[in-house]
Amino acid sequence: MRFPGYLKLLAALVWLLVMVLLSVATVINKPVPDTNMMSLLPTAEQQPLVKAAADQMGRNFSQSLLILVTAEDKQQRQQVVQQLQQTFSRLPEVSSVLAVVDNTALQAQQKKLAPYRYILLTDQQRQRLMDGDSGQLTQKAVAKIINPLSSGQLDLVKDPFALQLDWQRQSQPDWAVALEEGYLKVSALKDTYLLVLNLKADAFLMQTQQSIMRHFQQVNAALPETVTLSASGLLIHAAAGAEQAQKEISTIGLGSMLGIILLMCWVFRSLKTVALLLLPVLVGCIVATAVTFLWFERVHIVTFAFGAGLIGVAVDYALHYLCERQTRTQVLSKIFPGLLLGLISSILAYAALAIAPFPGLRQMAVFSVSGLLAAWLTVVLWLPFLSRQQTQISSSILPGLTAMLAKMPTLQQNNGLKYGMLSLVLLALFVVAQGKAEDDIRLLQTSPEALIAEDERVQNALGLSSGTKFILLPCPAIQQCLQKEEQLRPDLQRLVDEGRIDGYQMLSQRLPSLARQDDNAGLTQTLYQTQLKALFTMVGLPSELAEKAQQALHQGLDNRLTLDVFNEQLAIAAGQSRWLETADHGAATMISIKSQQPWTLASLGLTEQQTPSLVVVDQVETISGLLETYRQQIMLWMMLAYLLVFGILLYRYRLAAWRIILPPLLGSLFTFAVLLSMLPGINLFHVMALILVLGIGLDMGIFLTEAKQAVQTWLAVSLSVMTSLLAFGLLALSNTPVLQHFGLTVLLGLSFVWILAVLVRPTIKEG
Amino acid sequence: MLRMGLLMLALCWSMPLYATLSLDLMDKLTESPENLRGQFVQKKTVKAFDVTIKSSGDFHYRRHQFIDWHTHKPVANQLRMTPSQITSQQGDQSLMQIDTDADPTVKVLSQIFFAVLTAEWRQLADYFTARGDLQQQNWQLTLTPKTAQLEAIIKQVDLSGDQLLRDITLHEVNGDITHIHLSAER
Repeated sequence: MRFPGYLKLLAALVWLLVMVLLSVATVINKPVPDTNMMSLLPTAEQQPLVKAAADQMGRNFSQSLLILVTAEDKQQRQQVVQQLQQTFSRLPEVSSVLAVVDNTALQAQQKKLAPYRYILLTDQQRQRLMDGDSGQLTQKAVAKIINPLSSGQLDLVKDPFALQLDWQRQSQPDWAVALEEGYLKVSALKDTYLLVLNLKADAFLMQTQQSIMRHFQQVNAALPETVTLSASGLLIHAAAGAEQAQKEISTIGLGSMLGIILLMCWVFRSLKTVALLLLPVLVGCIVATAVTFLWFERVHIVTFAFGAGLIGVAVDYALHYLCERQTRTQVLSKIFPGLLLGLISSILAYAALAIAPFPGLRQMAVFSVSGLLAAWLTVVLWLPFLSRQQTQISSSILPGLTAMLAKMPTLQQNNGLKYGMLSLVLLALFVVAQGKAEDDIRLLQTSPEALIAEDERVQNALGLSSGTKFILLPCPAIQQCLQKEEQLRPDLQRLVDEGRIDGYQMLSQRLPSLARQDDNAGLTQTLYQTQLKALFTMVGLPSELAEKAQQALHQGLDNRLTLDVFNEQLAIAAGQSRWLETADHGAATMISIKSQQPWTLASLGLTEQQTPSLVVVDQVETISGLLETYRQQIMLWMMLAYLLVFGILLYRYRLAAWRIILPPLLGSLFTFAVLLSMLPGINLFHVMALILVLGIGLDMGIFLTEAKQAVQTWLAVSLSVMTSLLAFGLLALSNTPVLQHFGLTVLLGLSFVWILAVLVRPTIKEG
Repeated sequence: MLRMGLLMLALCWSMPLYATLSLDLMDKLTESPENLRGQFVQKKTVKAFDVTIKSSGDFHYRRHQFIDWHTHKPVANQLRMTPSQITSQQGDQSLMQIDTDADPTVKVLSQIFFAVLTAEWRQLADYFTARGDLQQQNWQLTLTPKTAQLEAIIKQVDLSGDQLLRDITLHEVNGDITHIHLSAER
């Protein structure tokens, strides 16, 4: 670098300014860490309608939190529910709390339904009327009228056949609850009330999680032993996962940092050297965090975990600089080509991550590239000023390392080793060829088992169906969807009657199609014509009343329940909606199937000929499929990256390029083989970790080759491998699957790379 | 009879002229046989239309298990109430089946009906405050709802009887009155 001194100083100062500005901008920007594993993944390339439906059903699930309050004492139970209601309805994150339904609300609901009582018929009522068995409805009506318990529910003029009562019973909400003094009593459990929180924001915002969980735990902690709370909802899992990941990142981050500092102190015996080494790392971390937060709206915490591993790479540049600094003063001009090539190869490897349309990978790419660039700039621009005085490396390490390297065999020298390696490679190839992938997203669940069990218990008690798997019924407009649902319903009902599924839920159960309403009007009219007089005579009611009832029918028969009225007045909760309408892609309704067993359209007997347009949407499967697709794509990208890098290396190093490319390449192969023999299968996150192995491995090879295998370079690369192992390897202990997969892969990969680098070194030491 | 006499003595001691009845005392006053059969006459007055619907039939209950309510007139209808379910039958045909859990009003009413008919007075204390008096062997009791949910449906329930319950009158908030007279076969 033949630049005048003042220019170098200017550059150093400019870099300082940039760094400070970036940090300030980040603090002002108020970063929001994200914990949604899904936001790491690309949005599925689904049809817009399917996607909209999946989003909506997902929201139904993710934006509510169900809390069960169990206590033997009824009053205590009610008090706790009230306390929870008060606590949560005050929170800005909560849009509404459903806990108590008073009689007025019930009556208001009945009143809203009343205008439509003649055209809302249950399937059973319709069946009777169509079979010409209207006498049965009359007898039922008589039974209701003389029933000593039917107080307050009969309107002899407006609804002598009590049609509305039956309708209301049929169109209960999804939860299997009954009212006990207005409280939502869970039918399947003893002494238990339900409380539903509807959240404003989604459950993955850490702010929402922390606020809700804190209040929940506060209330829970203050409760006597006789009361138990259990909860179900995405928020609980998201919060648990986030808390765990955060805890691990901080303990593992701290652990690895401490380990690295201790290692450095032991090797260099000088605080100043260690500080000089860590400075670029620190700058890299700050700049990477700043740039990533400025670039993306929300940054996933896994990005930081991945980023923590950069410490090992970022420390490389400084290590090489300082190791060279031992022997000469004009360091930069000597090692600049190597440093630059190292930077370019790493940046290429990481930037390749961003090519895939994959939000998580893009975040990691931006984080890594900006962090590495910053660390590199710091070394190049600042270290020449900061390390003017020569720093001494403790002499005890270098001779030891030299002696050790001398004892190590090389591939070129040792034929046995050569054949051993060859057979190892063949074995690894064999294992990899047999290997399977395991892309099921459920394996990446981070929730503790107790939490999952509690969740299942709540869901089962409430008889909830899955929000992630449902049948989509697309059609040009909602009314057609409703008609199709009505055609489908007898089939589904038969499955319920035969016990093959536990239940189903569809919009038309609460909102019949207009065509069905017209049909119902006709049926009700026939019922009145044939049975009204008989009913009134049977019970001994005067015939004037029958005439009044007939008049009421005429007045109400033309009322129709439209989608608008339904939405405005009768939709029970926003989180329960099972339909959608789009401007460009038509409309659709969503049918939930409640079943303990897995199901498909075929297993439900819904054949293609019969119902061609039905689509099963299974988000778990879709996302697992995505993981698979991207695992394959990234493998491909990685191979391309190897080819590209190999091309560049060939250009500069000619035949020596194989020494650089072989350690990461074979290291990755061996890692694959070991992972596959340990685990049921590999997934996307293992593959992503191998990109890091490539980056670090290439750096190592380049520096070693540039320095002609000088012993101080060996020290530098060994130290950088060890720091990476400390930074990443500790992640293998994580309970968060994604982090654990990362950590384990890097741990194995870098260990192999180091061993291989030793083995492929040239026989005759030239340096 | 001796037990009854002692009881009356005890009652007279504490309450000289009219005894103020509590639901606890009702326990001691009335019998609650394991098994009871009898006839009923029900008059339901619907205020809005100014009509009275009469029905009659017989009943049979087995404590803690069921109440059968067989209407003979105006139409034959069988109603069986269990603590958790109400089923209605006409001949062999099942007309309706209501899980009382699914319908809060029916649930409360059936609990009350159960409690009243089988003289499980203490259960009523959850729903009502009781006020009443006693003359000789005949007692009268007025129940007023305690809970808001019940208040919205029922104004009050009048009960009267001797060792057994004889009359039930249910006053609903909308003005409807259901009167049931029971004559048990001993």
